[in-house]
Amino acid sequence: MHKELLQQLAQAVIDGNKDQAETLTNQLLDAGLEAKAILDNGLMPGMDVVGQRFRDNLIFVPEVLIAARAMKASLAILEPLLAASNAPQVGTVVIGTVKGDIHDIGKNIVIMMLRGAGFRVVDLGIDTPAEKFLQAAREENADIVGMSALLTTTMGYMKTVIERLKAEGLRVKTMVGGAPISPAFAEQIGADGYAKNAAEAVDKAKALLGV
Amino acid sequence: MPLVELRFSANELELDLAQVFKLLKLPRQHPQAEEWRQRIAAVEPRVRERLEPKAQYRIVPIEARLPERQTVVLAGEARFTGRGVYRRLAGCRHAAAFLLTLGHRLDSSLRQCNQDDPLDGYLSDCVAAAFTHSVLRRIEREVRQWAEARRLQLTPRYSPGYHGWPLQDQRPLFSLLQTETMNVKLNDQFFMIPQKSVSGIWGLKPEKA
Repeated sequence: MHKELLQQLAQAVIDGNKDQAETLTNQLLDAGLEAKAILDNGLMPGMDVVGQRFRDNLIFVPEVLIAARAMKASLAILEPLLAASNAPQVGTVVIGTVKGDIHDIGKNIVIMMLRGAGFRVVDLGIDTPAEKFLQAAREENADIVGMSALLTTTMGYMKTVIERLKAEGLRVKTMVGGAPISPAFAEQIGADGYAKNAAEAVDKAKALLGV
Repeated sequence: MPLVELRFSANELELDLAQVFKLLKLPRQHPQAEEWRQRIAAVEPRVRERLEPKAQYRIVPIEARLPERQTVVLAGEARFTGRGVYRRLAGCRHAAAFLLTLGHRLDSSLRQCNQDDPLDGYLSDCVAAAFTHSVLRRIEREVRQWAEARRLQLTPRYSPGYHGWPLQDQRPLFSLLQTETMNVKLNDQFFMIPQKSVSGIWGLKPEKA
């Protein structure tokens, strides 16, 4: 019975059916399944399919957001239980749009996809100075620091953040993305990873943590 | 030519659905196109009621081109520098500098919308961007009329921050206009606040015989 409901939950996420996702999540909890199992076996497989379809250009950004909205509704029910149970998470990502840059739509999509993949994500918002990245990485015990920039004038600041993280001796992986960012630029500034879109960001984050 | 100010009521701006689909990166022939049209229609009134559209433009002579510095001097006061802008204004006698904004009220609303529901935020952002295109078309129409009366034609629109034109040139561009009446400011990184603002130029050059 659990298996069937979990499959239905995955499908509700794929279809972007928010109400159905909420109902199924509550049903699974009522049936005695733990929040972590619902996340791992219902939500994450659903978001995996969404990510794959997005990578294959079978669906588009707005459709990813619909799926993510359904996933978010389910996660809102699960998150307090996950926190209370101290269940292990895939990893913690601290993410923000770098200083001087006020664009956040791309970053928000990445956050939703990462959460759907089981990551704990701390959103630092827009116009984020290096100090804020450092502080959050330390306080949240982050595994990954993610940075986003939309313009060529702001992307250079990513290097500043990476250098500060290294100078402070923080053992954290760094990932960068955004319209003007290229793999070559990411390598040049010493980032550990680059992703061209939200689906790739999930793959890259998992690869960096070896999960 | 003196500065021209344009004022619009929010309701007179048309929303080009094809433009919204393009901004959403959704193909027009999407199997659920009708559902998307309905979703767009649902957010449109919320965006529209927060619009405070304003625009201004000024057509100025190009006074000099400095090839050694890849610089174009306009109206004796503004200098645009870079290979991109130098090349794009080649052969132009005038340039039309413009600025439009949808206002501060929309900005804060879009930010909130993004926090509450990223899908709603994304749709609203694309609808708002389509409204900027609507204002742009109005400005372009006026500039084109002025140009055609003088047997001039418009080059493609060009904005700082794109195709090699440094964003720093927002400053000289703003100096050609009266941005204080528009309530648009540049931050330290030369981004416009409010965000849903567009600035740029059209070059005006003689029509081909």
